[in-house]
Parts: sequence; structure tokens; C-alpha cells
Amino acid sequence: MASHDPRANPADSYLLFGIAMPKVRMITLVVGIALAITLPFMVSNFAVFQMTQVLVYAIAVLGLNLLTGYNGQFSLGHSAFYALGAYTTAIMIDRYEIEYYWTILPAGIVCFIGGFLFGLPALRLEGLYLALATFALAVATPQLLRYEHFEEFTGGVQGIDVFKPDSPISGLNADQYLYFFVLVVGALLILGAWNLVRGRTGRAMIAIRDNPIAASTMGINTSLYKSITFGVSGFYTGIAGALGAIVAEFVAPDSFTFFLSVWFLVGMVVGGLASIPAAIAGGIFILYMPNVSEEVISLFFGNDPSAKALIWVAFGLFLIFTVYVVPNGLAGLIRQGIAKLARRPGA
Amino acid sequence: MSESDTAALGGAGGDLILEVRDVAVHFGGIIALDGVSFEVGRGAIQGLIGPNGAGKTTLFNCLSRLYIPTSGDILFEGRSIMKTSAHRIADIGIGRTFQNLALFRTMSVLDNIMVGAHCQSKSDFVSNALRLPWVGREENSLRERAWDLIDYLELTDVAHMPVGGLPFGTQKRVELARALAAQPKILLLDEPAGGLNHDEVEELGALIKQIRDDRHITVLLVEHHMSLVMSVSDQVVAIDFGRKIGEGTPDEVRNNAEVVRAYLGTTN
Repeated sequence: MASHDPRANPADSYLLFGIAMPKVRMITLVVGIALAITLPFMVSNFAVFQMTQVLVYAIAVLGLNLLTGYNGQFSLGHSAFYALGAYTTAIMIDRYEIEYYWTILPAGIVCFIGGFLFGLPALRLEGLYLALATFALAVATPQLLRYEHFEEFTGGVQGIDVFKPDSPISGLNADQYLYFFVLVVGALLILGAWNLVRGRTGRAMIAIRDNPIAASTMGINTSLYKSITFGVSGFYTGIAGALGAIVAEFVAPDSFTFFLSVWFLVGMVVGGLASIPAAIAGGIFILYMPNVSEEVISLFFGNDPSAKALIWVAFGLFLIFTVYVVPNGLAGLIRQGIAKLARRPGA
Repeated sequence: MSESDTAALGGAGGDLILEVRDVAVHFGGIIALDGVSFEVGRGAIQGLIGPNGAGKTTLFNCLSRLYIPTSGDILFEGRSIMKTSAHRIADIGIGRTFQNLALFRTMSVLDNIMVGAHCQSKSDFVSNALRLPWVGREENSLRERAWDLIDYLELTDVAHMPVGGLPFGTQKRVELARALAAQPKILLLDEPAGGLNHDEVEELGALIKQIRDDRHITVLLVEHHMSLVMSVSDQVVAIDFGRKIGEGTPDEVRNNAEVVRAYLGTTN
């Protein structure tokens, strides 16, 4: 123990199956990246499309998690930011013939501004009241998109078609290319989020969540931080929307109902609050869980058409089971598992 | 610190660091503070005593701008703070702890203390997200400062633990470290001895003196623990029902008839 650093985190010296924790994290990261790169070459195009959609949802969930998990502000209105991002991209591509890759950042910036401006009046609202205000945002958005005086831009009820970009790289088909495009954007956003939450800004965001009055006394401009966090959250979810529009090749008001907000919320809670990798688990849950529920029902009831009605019952039961068994989400479950299995060196 | 050093540190307000002038706070019909005035000399340890509900914490909340006084003025280093927002208070040099602990429960001891230094750092969202080189340097210097305080207050063993699960006395020390991280000129301590045992109270007294002597920080101390206040304070102000009822050296205040009456009640 001669080289023991008294300032090192003792948790880092723990061993998981004989491997030091920092190394475990590194291995997990490398394996994760290797899987993300190789998987699209081993599965069908439809599966690649689904994986792309998982990443899109994961980015949206990450945006919501920055707001709710790290900063303690509720939102039932993130479908609105998702829609705003999607329409920004669709309109830029459709009306102004801008290349799709130039539309992603502007969509994020538009949603940052939207989020920041919404965050300002939301400062006066806490908890349930903020949830209601954001709910109103989610309900109003599809109606606005449908509004006939905006039709010139939004395409009204019809929405806008977005054409899937061709793959500029030989050896990658269009689905694979789009997957990697979304993967790169997602990886950059994850890196940015990780940098944010581990530094001064992240500490301030969490401090506001834990104790706003003490945070203010420590010199944190809580109003500014909460508004900017709303903006950053909008930025992430808006970029998810922009990517989602390209992936789905289509935007229409009915794709962005209040239910989409609830999906993000479900993904965030199931994945785990205030955790970045949890966003990916959340994305997977959002995309695959309805399918899994369907499989489970058909397993028990065969192809009985009346059993179709039970799919959402199965989903509901599964959701209740999840929040009951893993109240801290999958991220919390993994943390608990590591805490159980990891051993002190020499123990 | 010698007397001459103390005087040399005096700024615009002479050797006064804090002047509370006729401060009143009304909550609807309830008068929490009814025109309190007193001064704190730079480099002093000043006690603020009074029975429960006398208005001590209300006064602290005025000093940290969490409450807006109904009338009166508060001068810090000769300048009024009545137009300063709450989040700027740490920056101008007023630090505090809270009566019932106001820590960031889920954060580690280290992170809590680093939040304390928030006002002394300035990296923003964009440079943090991109982790620009100077952000890393700022982080390192903040972390270094936090570790100095962790060593100073003997928190090394718990530095990486979330504060929420630590013993009460330890949490009190974390709060003190967090307040010191901002390098305040005056430290407002709201019942730091609350919930501590006899030995811990004695250590605390020594620590308060040490903080003043080592770091040249003026201390304003709200405390119920009379022996602590009387042993560490240079000056004591006593308030009751929102009014000042006595002021002076610990001995003078101890023998002040009104103070005795406020604490023991009237005898017919």
C-alpha cells in the first residue's frame, strides 16, 4: 500500500471479478463501442433502422434527463422540442433544399432558444405546476403544426416528406450509413453531456436540484442555470427530433402528441435518473418494450385477435414491475449489482 | 493577528465590516425583526444570541438576501447590499452555514465543497461541454482548494462519500468547509453547535478561533450554546422579540438585566 493516494476514491480500488473498477469501466466502454460499430453489419436492415431509432430516442431521453434527473425540473412537454427540431430539419430540407447534415445543429439551436425562453416563465413554477405548464406545451404543439396559416411551412395535417439520404460511403447501405451518422452525433452529444455534468456547470445543476436555497447562497445564479438547463435539454431533444425526422423520412403533427413526451419520461425513469448511459437503456426500452409485450401476449394467447387488446396491459404490468423492482432504474440496478459483487482489494 | 493588522485590513467602512441599521422584517402582521441595529468589527468574532424565535435566523436570511427587509439598511464594507441579489452575496465575501444543514445530499463531500467555490470560478456551459483546456485547469485548482479544506477539517476519509449518509457532526463540518471554500471575508454561522456533543462543542470553539486567526475571517455566530458563545466571542449582541436588548463584551451581556430576564423569564 506504499503507493496509496489518500485522495483517490476508495471505490476505485474495489475489484469486480478481480478487475479494478476503472478498468471495468474502460472495458465496458470499449465493448460498448465495438458492439455499436459491428452490430449493424450482422443484422437485417430493419434491425439497423430500429437501432437508429433507439439512438434517436436515447438522445431525447438524455436531454430530458439533463433537465429532470440532474436539475430537478419536470417536463411533460419534450415532445414539443422534439417536434420543433424535427420540423426545423424538415422545413430546411424541403423548402430551402439545405443538405440534411447542415440542418442538425440549427435544429438544436432553435430548440435551445425555445427551451431557454420557455424556461424563463417556468422559473416561477415548481414540481406539479411545471409539469402542467409543460403539458400545455405538449398539447398545443400538434395543433399549432396543423394550423392552416402555417401550412405553407409545416404542410398542415399532411406534414412534410423527408428523403432518406443516400450513403456516400461504398460498403454501407443507406440504413447503415444513417445509423452511423446518428451514432456519431449521439456520441458527440453523450461526450458533451458527460463533460457538462462532471464539471462546474453539472455541480451547479445538481446543487440546484438538491437544495436551491443553499445553491443560491453558494453564488449560483439559480434562475439563469435553470433557464440554460432548459435550453440545453431542448437542444438535445431538438437534435433527436431532427435526426428522427430523417430516420422516419416524414414529419406530421400526429407523430408528436403528448404521448411522445410520456414515452421519453418512461424511458428516463426506467433507464435511471441522473445517469448518462441510462439514456441508451431508456431508448431500448421505448422502442422494444411494446414489441416484447406483443410477443409475450402472443406466446400466451396465440394469434387470438381479441388478445391484441391485452398488449398494453402486458406493457403496463411490465412497467409497474420495473418501477417496483428497480425503483432507481436500470442504472441503479447495475450500481447496486456492482456494489454487491465488487470486493475490496485483499478482502 | 495583532490589533494593527486588524486595523490595516479595514476598508471603506473603517474597521467595520458589517453595519446593520434599523432592520425590520414583517411577515404579514408578524413582526420578526423590529428595527435591529449593530455593527461587526473586521476580524472580530461576534456572538448573536436570543431565545427561540427572537429573530436571529431571520436576520441571517436578510444578510444573505434570502429575505428582503421591510425597512432599514445593511452595509457590507461600507456599501449597502440592499440591491445585491442573493447569488452575488457569496461573491462579495459573505459566507454562511445553515441551522438545519442545507447540504447537497446526493453529492460527495468533495463536490459539495467545490460548489462552495462556485463564485470563485467562471467556466460556462459551452466551455464545460467542450471541456476546453482552461476548464480542466480551473477544475484542478478548485479541487486542490477543496482538498486543502478537506484536510483542514479532517474529512479525508469521507471525501468521496455522498454527504446525505454521514453523521450529523460530520455534515456540519462539511457545511463549514463549503462556506470556507468561497474564501469569505465574513462567515455567518447559524447554530454550529446544534446537535454536537460536549467534546465536539469544545473542538468547534477552538476551530472557530482558528478560522479567524489563520484565515482572517470575521465570524458572526448565532448560537444557543451559551458557554461556546461566551468563550469565543469578542462582542455579543442579544436580541429578543425582534429587538436588540443588549450588547457588549460577553461579561457585560451576561450581567445585563434584560438579557437575563429574556432567558429566565420575569420573577415577580
